[in-house]
Amino acid sequence: MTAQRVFTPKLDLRQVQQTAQAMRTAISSVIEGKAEQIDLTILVLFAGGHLLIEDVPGVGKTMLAKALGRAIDCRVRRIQFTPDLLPSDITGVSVYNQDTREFEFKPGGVFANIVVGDEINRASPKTQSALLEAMEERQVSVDGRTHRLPPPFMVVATQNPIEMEGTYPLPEAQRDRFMARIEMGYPTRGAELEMLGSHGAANPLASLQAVTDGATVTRLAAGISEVHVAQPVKEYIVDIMEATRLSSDLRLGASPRAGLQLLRAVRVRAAMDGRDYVIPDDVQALLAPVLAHRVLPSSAARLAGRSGADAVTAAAATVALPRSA
Amino acid sequence: MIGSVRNTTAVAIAAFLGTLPLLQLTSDPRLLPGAAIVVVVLEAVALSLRRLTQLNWPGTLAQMFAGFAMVWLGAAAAAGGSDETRPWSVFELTWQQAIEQISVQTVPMAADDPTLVLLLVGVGLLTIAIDLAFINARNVLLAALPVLGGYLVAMLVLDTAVNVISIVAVCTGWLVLLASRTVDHERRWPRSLSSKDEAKFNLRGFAGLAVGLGIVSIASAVVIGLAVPPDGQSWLPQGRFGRSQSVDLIDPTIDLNANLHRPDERPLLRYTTSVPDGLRLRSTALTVMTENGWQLDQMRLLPGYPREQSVSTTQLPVVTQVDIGDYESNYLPVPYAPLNWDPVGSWSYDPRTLTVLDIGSDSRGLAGQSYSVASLLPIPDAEDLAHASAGTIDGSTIPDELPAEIIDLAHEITDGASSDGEKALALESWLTDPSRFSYDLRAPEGTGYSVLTNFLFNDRSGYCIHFASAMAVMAETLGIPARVAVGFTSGAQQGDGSWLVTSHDMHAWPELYFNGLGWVGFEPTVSISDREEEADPESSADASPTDPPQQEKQEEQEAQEEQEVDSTDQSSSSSDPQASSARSLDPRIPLGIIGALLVAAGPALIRALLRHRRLSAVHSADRVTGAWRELEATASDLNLAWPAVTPRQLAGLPWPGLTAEGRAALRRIAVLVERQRYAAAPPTEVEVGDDVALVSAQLYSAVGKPKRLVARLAPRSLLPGRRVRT
Repeated sequence: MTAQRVFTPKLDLRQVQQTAQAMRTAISSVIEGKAEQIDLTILVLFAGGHLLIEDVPGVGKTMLAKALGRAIDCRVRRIQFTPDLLPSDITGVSVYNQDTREFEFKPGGVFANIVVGDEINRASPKTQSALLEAMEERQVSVDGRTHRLPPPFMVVATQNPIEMEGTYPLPEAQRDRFMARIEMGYPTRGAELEMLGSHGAANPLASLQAVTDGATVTRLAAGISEVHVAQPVKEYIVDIMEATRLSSDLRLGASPRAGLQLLRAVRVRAAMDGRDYVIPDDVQALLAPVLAHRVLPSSAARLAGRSGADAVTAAAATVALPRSA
Repeated sequence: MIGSVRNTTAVAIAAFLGTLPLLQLTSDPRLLPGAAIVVVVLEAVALSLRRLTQLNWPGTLAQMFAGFAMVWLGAAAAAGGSDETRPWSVFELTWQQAIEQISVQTVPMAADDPTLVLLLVGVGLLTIAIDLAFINARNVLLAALPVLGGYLVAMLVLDTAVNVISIVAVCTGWLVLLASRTVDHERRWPRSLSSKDEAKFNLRGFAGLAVGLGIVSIASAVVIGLAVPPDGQSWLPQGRFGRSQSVDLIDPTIDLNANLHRPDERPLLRYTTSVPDGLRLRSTALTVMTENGWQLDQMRLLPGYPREQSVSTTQLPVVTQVDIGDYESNYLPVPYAPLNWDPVGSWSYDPRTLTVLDIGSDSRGLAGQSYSVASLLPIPDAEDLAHASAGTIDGSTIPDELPAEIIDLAHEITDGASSDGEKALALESWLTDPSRFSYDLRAPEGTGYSVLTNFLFNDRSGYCIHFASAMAVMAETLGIPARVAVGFTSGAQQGDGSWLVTSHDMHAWPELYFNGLGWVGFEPTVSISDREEEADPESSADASPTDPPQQEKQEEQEAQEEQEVDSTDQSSSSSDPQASSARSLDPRIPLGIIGALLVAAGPALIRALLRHRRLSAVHSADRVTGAWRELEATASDLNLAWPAVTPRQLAGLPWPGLTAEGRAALRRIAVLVERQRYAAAPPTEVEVGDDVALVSAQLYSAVGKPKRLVARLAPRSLLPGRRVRT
C-alpha cells in the first residue's frame, strides 16, 4: 500500500530539507568527513538517478552505498560483481514449478529499491549490460515478460579505477547512464583517526537506523520536479553543453541526456538548499560530478594532465552568466 | 549613529555659538533670534530626514532646500513692496540692496532687512558646513573651520580686536562638538566591558576629561592672549614701543592756545589737494572727558599703516601733499582718515584715533618735512546723517560729577529730534547761533566743570575748544560717543592753488560716532568761517553778530564741508585709494563661487540621485536590482573589483571592511537578487535600503580618507567605461 499510495506531486521544501538533513546525519555517522560525497549521494537519490562511486579500494565506497541503503527503510540488495556473474543473476530467471506445472519468475538481484553494485567493472560486459538496461528502463524483460521495478529505484555502483587489474572498463554509453560520478578520496587525518576509534569496536552500520522510507523519498522526488528553472538558467545549461562540445580539450562533449540529467540534479540541489528556484550556482556546483564521467578528454589534455572535470569547468567558465530573468 | 539627536544638537549649539561674533557687525537686534531660528530649522530638517532615510546625505540636501526656501521667504519679505516673486529675481534684488547698504556703512551696521537676510544666509551656510563636516564627514577637526567662520569674518571686518565673548563662544561651540564626538567614540570602543555601570562611568569620565583638557587649553590661550598686549607691546620695558603707553604726550590744546593767542600770524604749513574747498588737517583727538576738560587718552601705537578695507560709497579717496614750514610737533597733520603717509622718521599710529605720531628718541621732527598722505574723506549727505543712529564705543562714558544742568540742557536742545543724527545737528545749530554765542579768544571763567557751565549758561563766549568741548559733552550725555579733534582749519587758498595754514588756523572740533558712518566731524564754533575774526582776539567779539543771514549761509556751507571732510575710524587704507574704490564686492563673485561649488559637487549629487533612484523604486523587483547595482557602483567608486560571478559568489568574496553583520547583509541582498532573477515568483515587500547602507558604509570604512573623498566627489561608477546601469 505504501508504495502505491496516491501522492500529490507537491513541492514540500521543508520536508525535503528535513529528510536530506536526517539522511546526511545518519550517513555521516558512518562515513566521516565526506560531506560533499554524502550530499551528492542523497541528491542523486532524490533526482531518481544512479550513482557511480569510483576510487581505489578501501576508501569507503561500499560503506557509503550500504549506509545510504540503511538510512532508508526500503528494500536494499547488494550484488557483488565478479567475472563469472551471469546476466540472469541480476535480472532473475523463470523456473519450472513442478506443482503448478508453470514457469515461475524468480526475481534477480536488481529487484530492490536500492541496488548496491559492488565493483561493477569486474563483471563481463554482458552482465554489465543487463544491469544497465534495468537502470535505464526501470524494468526487466525475461522470457518475453516485462517486470517493472518498484520506485524508488537507484543503483549505486562502485568501481575501481580502470587502470587496475582484472577489470572490464564501462564503455562511454554505459557511463552516460549514471547521473553522477563521485570520487571518495582519502579521508583527512582527523577523520581517519576517528574512524580507527569508532570502527575498531563494532560495525557502525549495525547501529544505523532508517530515518525515512522509500515512499517518502518517491513522493518528495516527485514534488521536486516543480522547482522553477528560469529561462536564463536553462539557456545557461544549454550554453555549457555547447561549450563542452566545442572545447578543444574534449574529444567527446556532453550529450543531450547529460543536459537533462543536469537539469534534474540542479532542481534537487535547489530544493535541498530550501529554494524553489534554480540559480547558476547550482549548475556550476554540479557540472563536474554530472558531466565529467561522460566526456572524453583529448589526448592533448590528458598529456597536459587535465582531467575531464577540469575541461568541463574550463568550458563552463567561457559561458556568460545569466544576468537577469 | 545616523540621525543621532545628540550630534545634531551639538551641531546646532556649535553653529549658534559660532555666529555670535557676527553680532559685532550689526546693531540689528533681530540677528540673534534670526540666527537661532535658521539653525534650529536647518538641524531639525536634517535630523528628521536622516531618521527617516537612515542616510546622511538626504539631511544635507534637505538643509539646502530648507535654506533655499528660507532665503526665498526672507528675501521676499525684505524686498517688501516689490511684486517680484521669482526666487532668482528676489535674491538678486535683496543681494543688491544688501550690498548697497553694506557699501555705504561701516560696522556696526544699522538695522536693515536685506543686510539681515544676507547675514542670516551666512549663518545658514556655516550651519550646513558644520553639519556636513561633523555628521557627514564625521570629522570634528574639519568642523572647527566653519565654527570659526563667523569669528574670522568679524576679525577681518573689524579693525579693533574681536571681543573675548566671541572667542569663548566659538571655542565653546567647538568643545560641544568635541564632547559629542568623544561620546560616540567611547560608545563604539568602550574601554571597559566588565560592567555596565563602570562603562558608563568611564564614558562620562573620558568625555569629561577631553572637554576639560579643551577648556583648560582654550582658557589659557585666552588668558595669555589678553595678558600679552598685541603687536609686541609688552608691559616689559624692552621693545620698540615699550615706552609708548607711558610716554608723556604733549597736550595739543596747549599748542592750540599758544598759537591762537600769538599776536603775529605765522605760516606753519602748505598743502595741495584736489578737494576744491580745501580740507582740515587733523593732529589728534581728545577722547576722555575729565574735570579739566577733554584730555588725551593713552595711545596704542602700531607701526606701519592701518589695514586695507573696502571703500564705501560715502567715502572719497584723496591724496594730499603737505609741506611743513617752521612748525614742530609730535603729531603729523593729516586729513582724516589717513590711510598711509611718507614723512621721514619712524612714524607710527594709534588705531583708535588714527593719530600719527613720532615719539622715538631718534625723532627726526616735523619741521621742514614734505610728505604726501592718502586719506579717505567721507562724503555722507545730510540725509544720511539725519537718519543715523548712535554707535557704541567702549569706554566713552561721561564723568559722574558732570553738572546735571548740562545734561538737562542737552535734552532740552534736542527735544523734538527723532534720531541721534538729528540730535547732533540740533546741538550744532544751537551752538552756532550767533545770537546766542560769540567768539572770544578769552576763555570762560572758572576751573573744572565751571568753565563749561560758565560757557554754556553765563559768558556764552569762548573759542573753538569750548564750542567743541560743549558739543562733545552734550552728545555724550545723549548717548552719542564723542571726542574732540585737534588740528587746523583749511587755511587760505593761494594763487598757485595750494593752501596756506597759519598759526591762527589751529582749531578744535567735535567728532561724533554713528552706526554705518563712523566718526563724523561737526562745526559748532560760531563764525569759524571768518578766519580774520578768529585770528584777531580784539575784533572777534563784535564781528560775529554783524551779519546773521550771511553767517547762516556760511554755516550751512560749513556744515556741508564738514560732512565732506569728516570720516570714520573704520575706514581703510590702500596704497592706491582710487583703485580700492573699485574693489567693492561684485555680486557675481559669490554667485560664481556658489556656481563653481555646485559644478564641483555635481558628480556627487548625480551619484546621490542615482543611489536614491535605485533604492526607492516602486516595485520590489526594481528595488532589488537597484540595490545590487548600487552595490556594484559603490564597489566601482572605491575601485574594488566586481567580478562576473553569481550574486552568491560575490557575497562570499573577502570584501575589505565587512564585518559578520555586513557580510550577512550582503548575503541577504544576494539571495534577494537570486530570487528576483531566477525564482518563479519574484520577491515582494522587500526592504534593502538598510542593508545597502550598512554594506556601503563598511566598504567605505575600509579605505583611507583621501580615497573616500575621491570616491564621494568623483565617483568612478559615473565614468563611461565603468558605468553601472541605473
